[in-house]
Amino acid sequence: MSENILEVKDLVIHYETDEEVVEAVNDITFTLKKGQVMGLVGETGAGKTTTALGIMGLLPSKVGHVIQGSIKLEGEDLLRKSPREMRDVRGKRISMIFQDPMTALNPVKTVGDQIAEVVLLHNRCSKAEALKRAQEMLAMVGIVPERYKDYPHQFSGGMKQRIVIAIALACEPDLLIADEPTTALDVTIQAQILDMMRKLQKDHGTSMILITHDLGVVAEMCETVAVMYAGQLVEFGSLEEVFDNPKHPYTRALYQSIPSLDKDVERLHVIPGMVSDPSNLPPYCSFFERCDEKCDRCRDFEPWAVEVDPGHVVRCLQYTPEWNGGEK
Amino acid sequence: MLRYIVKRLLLLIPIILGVSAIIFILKTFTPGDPARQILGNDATQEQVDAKREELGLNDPVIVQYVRYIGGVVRGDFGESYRTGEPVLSEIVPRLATSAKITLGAVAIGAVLGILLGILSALKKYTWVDSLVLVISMFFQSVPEFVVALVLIMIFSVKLHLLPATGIETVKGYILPMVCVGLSSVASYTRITRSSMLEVLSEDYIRTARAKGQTEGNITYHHALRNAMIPVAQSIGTNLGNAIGGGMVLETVFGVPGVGKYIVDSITQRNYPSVLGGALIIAIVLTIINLVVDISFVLIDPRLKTTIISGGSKAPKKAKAAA
Amino acid sequence: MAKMHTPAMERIEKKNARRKKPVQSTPAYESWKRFKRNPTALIGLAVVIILILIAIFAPLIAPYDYQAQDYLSMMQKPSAAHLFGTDTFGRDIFSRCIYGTRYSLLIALFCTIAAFFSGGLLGIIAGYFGGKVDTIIMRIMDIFQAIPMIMMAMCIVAVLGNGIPQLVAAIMFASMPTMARNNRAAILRVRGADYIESSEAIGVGQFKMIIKHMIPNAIGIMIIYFVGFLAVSILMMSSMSYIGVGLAAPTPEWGLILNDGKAYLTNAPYMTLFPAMMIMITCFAFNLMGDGLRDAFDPRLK
Repeated sequence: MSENILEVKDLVIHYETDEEVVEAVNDITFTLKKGQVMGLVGETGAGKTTTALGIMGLLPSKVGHVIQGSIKLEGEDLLRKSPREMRDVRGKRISMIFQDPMTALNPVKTVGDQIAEVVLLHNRCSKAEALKRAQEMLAMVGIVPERYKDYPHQFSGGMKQRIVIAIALACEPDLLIADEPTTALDVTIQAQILDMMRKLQKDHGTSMILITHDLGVVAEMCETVAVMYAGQLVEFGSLEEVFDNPKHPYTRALYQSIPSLDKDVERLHVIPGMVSDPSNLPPYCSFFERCDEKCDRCRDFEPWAVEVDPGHVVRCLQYTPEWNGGEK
Repeated sequence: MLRYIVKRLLLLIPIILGVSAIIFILKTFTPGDPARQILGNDATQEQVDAKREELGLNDPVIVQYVRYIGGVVRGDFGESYRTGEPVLSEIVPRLATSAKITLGAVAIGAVLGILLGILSALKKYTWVDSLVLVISMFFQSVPEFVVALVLIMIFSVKLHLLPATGIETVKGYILPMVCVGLSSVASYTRITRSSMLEVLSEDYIRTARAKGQTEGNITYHHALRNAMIPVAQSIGTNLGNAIGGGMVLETVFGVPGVGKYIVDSITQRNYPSVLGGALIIAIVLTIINLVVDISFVLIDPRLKTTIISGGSKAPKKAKAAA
Repeated sequence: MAKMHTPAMERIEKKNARRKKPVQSTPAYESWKRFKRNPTALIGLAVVIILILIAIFAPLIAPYDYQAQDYLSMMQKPSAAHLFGTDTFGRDIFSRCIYGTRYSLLIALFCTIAAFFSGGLLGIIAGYFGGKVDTIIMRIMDIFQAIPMIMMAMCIVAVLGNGIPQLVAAIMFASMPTMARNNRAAILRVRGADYIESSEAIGVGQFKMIIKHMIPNAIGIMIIYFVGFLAVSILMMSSMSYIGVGLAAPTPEWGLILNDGKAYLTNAPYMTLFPAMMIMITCFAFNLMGDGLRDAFDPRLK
């Protein structure tokens, strides 16, 4: 057994419709060690959620296609599993927390039933035992267990997200994917939920992929960081490496756009231009148009991943032999 | 909950007042002099004038309306020109017949429509979906009476299985029910399909998938109950249509129901029976719709809280129903 | 060009290459593109166009006068001389059905226009102004809705008499609540849209707002209702005529032609078959077209 819980290799995911093909995920490779938390950062439309859905095997049917690559959970390729086998994986070995807790719960079922459902699916137990487990889970996420008989609309947004987390953790999964778990919540509640998630993650030793666009959250929670841009992993490394020694121009630009208390600046740094149209990506670096470190050679190559330091991978031409001198 | 029911019951009053106003307006437009109608052509002008006074036809319109409402409240919907009997007592026995046909029709239409709707939602964008759509649209495009004629041709004239007219035997109910039912299939199919598709794209369905739930269980345990809410809400409208369709078909099949009574009264220029009958049906329909509305509360827990807490912020689906 | 080539991409590239020049994409053009892709909708449209042509050129197509009675050839089976046979007065059913197209389509069109100018307009007003206006109009519509549509229409015809204007008025009043409700919903959906709020915020005048922003965006949904209602009014009209509370003879309306033949259903089924087919084909075509329009204008519904 390897110590990696998840190995994603050369993954390409496209959305195909009659009108266009959207290249949502382009050739990403990363690994996640057991018990670690990885931050998946990037702006809207960078392919973070698609990556997560790809791992879960929940890409929209008929439209979403995995073109190539492999997703290995403890050495088993999830892409080779049958739908039936995948159902056993989902909820039991990998769980997912979705972005919007307001809509993630079925409005006509009690929260107890909804937690018990996942317990019943993956464990041999009676309905009563499952409900008992549901109450334990509610207690664990800080909700009075007696409220298991209530319906989702009787809870606030933050409470609903706690319930969603309870569902996700009910079967003690090996891997938890949290897709912007706090974006839809109030700032004060965000901190509570994150604290709780960190505590539960530590207690159970769950590995976690935290999808977010909030670099502050990443700094607090994660051990490794993957930065996505236009469906590609432009930078991947440990938190210290990526934060203290960012290599990719996009990552650097991201840091500059964070407001800082120390420096007094008139305006925040803005990355010029727009994200490339994912249905019409250029044959060279997708970040080229917006990059302020580019050179003419950048137009000729699709950059490939380079390991600049051990475990720190960057996809930028300037770290390759093709780079012909700093025309910055 | 009780408060909600009382509130809804109180809302019945303006509707009944309004409907009776519409009927009253129509009544004042009816050609001919009611007094003359009652007395017949042999009566002298003096007799007619006396009858007019007696009927209060010389009073101001408002007074007549108030008197009319007073009558309606006491169950007086006018008297048939033909028999002189109160319209209410003529209609009540016929209501049962019509109710049986309408209920049977709604059941046939809803069951078929919901099944077809689920089928086409689950098989969306396939030939099954298209076929279901075309079939249901076909029945939407054929007038009920044509379906009735075709079924009479097949089952009565050719096969001698079912009677063409009359409801002397239970068999007599079958054709009218099926005809009225078929005409509403399209509407149920469409609502079920779109509501199913909408629900299936909801986030909580994805949550269920993320739990590792099977597609079958997702359809039946998670999607169906949510998807049925708009379908149930459409039953009220469809009931109205079924009663309307029933009116035509009762005439075709010679079923002695309210519909045939009203249609016959129209051809006989028996205006009090027509208008009285329409008013009675409107009131019955309104009450049924109220019952349907209240029963939603039992399906959708979100509504219960909003109603009990008296909050005005109804959830999205509840608003659509209002 | 792309990062990674797939067969699907090649397919689309080929399709784009075939397109002569990039067409400017407007909402109307997008809708037409969606409509064009829908074979059943195109069939519906084709049939509707043929029916309109039949209605316009009825005198040229019909071999006989629709009310010419010929006592020498009564109740004849369909033949070369009388394609659909003749009725009890020896009138040519084919000619009556052809003229019936003209009458039925025209009356349906009148009914639909009338319904849009009464109920539809009320719905638009209610939806646009909202608040008290909305409440009052919609409560009144609730009252109208308490009476089933066809019953309302029959009551009005009973009181006003049989005739085309009376029938149009009857169907107009009867459909008022449904029309109002549908159009109100169409406006409300547009009204709630963000761009309306933003143009309100930059101070676009009310009148200009209705004309320039709301109507064009609500119009797609309204066209769907319009086409749908054409079928509904043909159905209502023929049902009413059939049971004798619609139009009066000898108007060659399909429901009336059916009514003429209903007594002879067993020995002369052709007398009812052909007008019934006409009604069916027409309504089916309108419904197919309406459904295609729904998908075209409102892809979210599909």
